[in-house]
Amino acid sequence: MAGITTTKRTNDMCYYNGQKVSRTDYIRLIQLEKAVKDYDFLNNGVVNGFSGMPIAVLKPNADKSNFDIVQMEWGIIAPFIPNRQEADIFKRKFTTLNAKVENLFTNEAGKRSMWADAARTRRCLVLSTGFFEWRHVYRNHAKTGLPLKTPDKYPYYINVADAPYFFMAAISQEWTDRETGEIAHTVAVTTTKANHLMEQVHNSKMRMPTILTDELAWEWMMTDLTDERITEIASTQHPTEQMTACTITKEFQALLDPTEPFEYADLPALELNL
Amino acid sequence: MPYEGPYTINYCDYVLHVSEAVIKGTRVFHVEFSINVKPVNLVVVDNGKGFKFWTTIPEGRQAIADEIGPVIGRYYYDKKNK
Repeated sequence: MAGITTTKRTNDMCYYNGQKVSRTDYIRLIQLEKAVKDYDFLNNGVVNGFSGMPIAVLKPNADKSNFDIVQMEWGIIAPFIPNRQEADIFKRKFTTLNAKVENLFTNEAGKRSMWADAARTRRCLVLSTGFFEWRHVYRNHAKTGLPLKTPDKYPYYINVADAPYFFMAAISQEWTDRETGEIAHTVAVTTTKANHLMEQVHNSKMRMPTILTDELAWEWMMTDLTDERITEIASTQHPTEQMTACTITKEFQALLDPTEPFEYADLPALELNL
Repeated sequence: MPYEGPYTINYCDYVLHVSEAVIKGTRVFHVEFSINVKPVNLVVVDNGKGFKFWTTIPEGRQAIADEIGPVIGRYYYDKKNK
């Protein structure tokens, strides 16, 4: 009898995440997985690129007659990476959130770039309402008058004036975890040389995302392009006069509205005269 | 269907951003972290014997559910008993 009881209990109970749950709950949880995956958690104030949270991406459908809005993981994972643990190491080591336009086809060593296939065949757009960058300001030493080695860092929120959202050029890469079978759709935003505004805001790197007009965004995502034209579009510098930048609190990532302006009394103003 | 949030909870030296939703009749807590940790979806499950515990959707991150779930539970307990 004991054996029968044990068998019955085993049939009634299942394991989810290593925890015993009833069969009913197990089925409910499995059904929830798909529903949660499809649920729109896009309405977030701020995306920290290093947090792994998904971002909104436009990608063309199969015959490029239209596009879909999907969620992707920010930070490309190369196909040869075997598992999630190695993927996290890879992303930290190579900072694949962004792809420099100068290296889309040729890397720093002059060899074929890891971005090349994606740039040729998997161009997409990241949908953005604005982005954050840190301005570095080197104060002078009180006694010596020399600039300090460690800068003070001030965060800015940058967006396109009068645009509720805009497009950033991006490339995507599908990645499969060979241990779990998990498929991740990963994406990197292309970056170009900073324009006059971004030279001052992102003055440590002198870079900015490739922000595209509607026409260029369509061309980037939906048409067949030569390497030269891909490079040309990815090099687009959105004009300073069409962008705005304001300082925000250094704790902005903890705020429900991280874009709320915050003034720093000791921070020199940006030089926006062209 | 939206439920509550988003709201933030300070935990250790970082911040949890919590959004809630009721999906297929189950209350789901979507948690993002201010540090380099991948967001996680948490739910409360009954083991069939009246014992409730936190787990993740999808499977695979039970340790984080064990740690962060009670923090959310504490948030509601404190809110209720204010």
